[in-house]
Amino acid sequence: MMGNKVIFGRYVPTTSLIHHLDPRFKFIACFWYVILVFFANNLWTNLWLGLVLLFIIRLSHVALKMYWAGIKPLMWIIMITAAVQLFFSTGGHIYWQWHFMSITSVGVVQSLYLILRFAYIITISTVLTVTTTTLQLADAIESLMKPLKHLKVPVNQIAMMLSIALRFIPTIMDEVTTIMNAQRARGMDFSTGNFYQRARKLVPVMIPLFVSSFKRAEELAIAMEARGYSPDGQRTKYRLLVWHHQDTVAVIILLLITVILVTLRIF
Amino acid sequence: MGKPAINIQKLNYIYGGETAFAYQALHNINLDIMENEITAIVGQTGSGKSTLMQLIDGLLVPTSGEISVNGVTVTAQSNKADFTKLRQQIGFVFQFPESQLFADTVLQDVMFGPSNLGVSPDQARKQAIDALQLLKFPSGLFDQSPFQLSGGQMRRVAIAGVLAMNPKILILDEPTAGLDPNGQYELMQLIKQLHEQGTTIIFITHQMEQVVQYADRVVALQNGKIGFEGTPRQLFDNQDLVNEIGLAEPHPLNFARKLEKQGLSLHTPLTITELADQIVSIKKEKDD
Repeated sequence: MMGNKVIFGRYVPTTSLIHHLDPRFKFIACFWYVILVFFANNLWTNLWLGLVLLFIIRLSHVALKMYWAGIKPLMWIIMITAAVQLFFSTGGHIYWQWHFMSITSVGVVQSLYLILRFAYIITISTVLTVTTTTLQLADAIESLMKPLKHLKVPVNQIAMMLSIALRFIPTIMDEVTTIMNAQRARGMDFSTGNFYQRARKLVPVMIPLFVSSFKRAEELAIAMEARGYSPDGQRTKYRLLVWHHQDTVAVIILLLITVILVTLRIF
Repeated sequence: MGKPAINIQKLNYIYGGETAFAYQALHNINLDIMENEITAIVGQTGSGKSTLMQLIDGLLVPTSGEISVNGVTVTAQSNKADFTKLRQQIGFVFQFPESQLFADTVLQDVMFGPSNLGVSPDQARKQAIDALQLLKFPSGLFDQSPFQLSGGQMRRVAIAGVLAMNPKILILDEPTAGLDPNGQYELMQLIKQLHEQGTTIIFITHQMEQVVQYADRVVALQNGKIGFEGTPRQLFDNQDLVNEIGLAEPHPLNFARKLEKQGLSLHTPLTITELADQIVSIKKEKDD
């Protein structure tokens, strides 16, 4: 169906600098940033990381509402965790107390940091997913896993499984839509009923979906073998990951960010 | 006769709403589908045929414009109940409908539709058996799992699942795709029979032979717009239009065009019989 050409995930196609960075770098940098977030323990370090994040968001040329859309569904979890932190932390000035619950100055600060941490981590992963296609990510993971070959990890097969899985997500989503439509056309109403009734209504969707997925998997296996696929064979790549000058610059900037963060933490 | 079963006005549909991937599938469609007629919908892949059918069945919400089916009207602002009402007017046989089978037995699967419409289990059973018999499905297989059937049998069960709801209007999206010639013929005969019993039929097809043989009217879509609406003869009389919309000509007509290049003058024969008759009459003239 034409409408579902939307690529899986939330990739936003612009031509920003962040989009053009090597996906391997982006993948590692994203993890690195998450580690840094856990390093930040005071006002200045948190401000610094926030500033860096805002800068990256600016560079990505992706609308702020896309980032907000990443945080929104997790809002409740963030709020509940922050509330637990707020009511159950001890230390510092006590503003309010009731049995074992209290609001203290340390609790207020800690819960604010916690909210920031959540927001930073979610947003940096959103940066990764809106600026990198799933194919690029799969290539990056494959490339980064290469050293594991020496430990006899079947990297090629894992990479093949990963790219097949990613490849078929849109197909399966299309199929879910079609099957749901077919059952709706037979008078099924998915939007009414309590939780139990709604769960039961998934049966007429899930069974056909499983049947066709197994069938497709079998057909795909035959088609791959017919074209000479062998799991142990050495495959060449159509899309090569090339490390550019700009990626080296990005690494240096990342190191600088880290050094400044450590300095801010110590002083 | 002559009364529209479906009336579509200024219908637009855009996929992907406000995202970067927005795509307008239908542009300002105005269309009447007449009661008790067989309407064929043709057009190239991606021309909006399936989208239009899903809108008529209330499976998609129009971006703008309105659709009326037997007095039920939906617009972009309509609520869910209206779309449900719309769906109840129409039976929709999807492309490769066998992929929607799910129940433990054939009979249970066919009963699914009528049961959802709220008829009693006994009545649903009766309607299911009637529908299966209409499709000449062997009664010995009613309690089989639908997954143990052959492809052709599965297709019949799936179509029975829609017919069991006794729809006044039946939409079929490429019903004969993937069937052998015999199966195709039987299915088209069934469609003809349903039409004779008073069902309004709309079917999507890529086979122009089916259009000329079975359809009273044909609607050709081209890039989300209506490229032609009228009788099959009107369409195929206009060779330039047929090419422009990107349609093939029916085989007999195609053959006739080749004969015309050899100097024979034929009058747009659409079926094999017409072609044969015209050739015979030319031969008679020459013999006389």
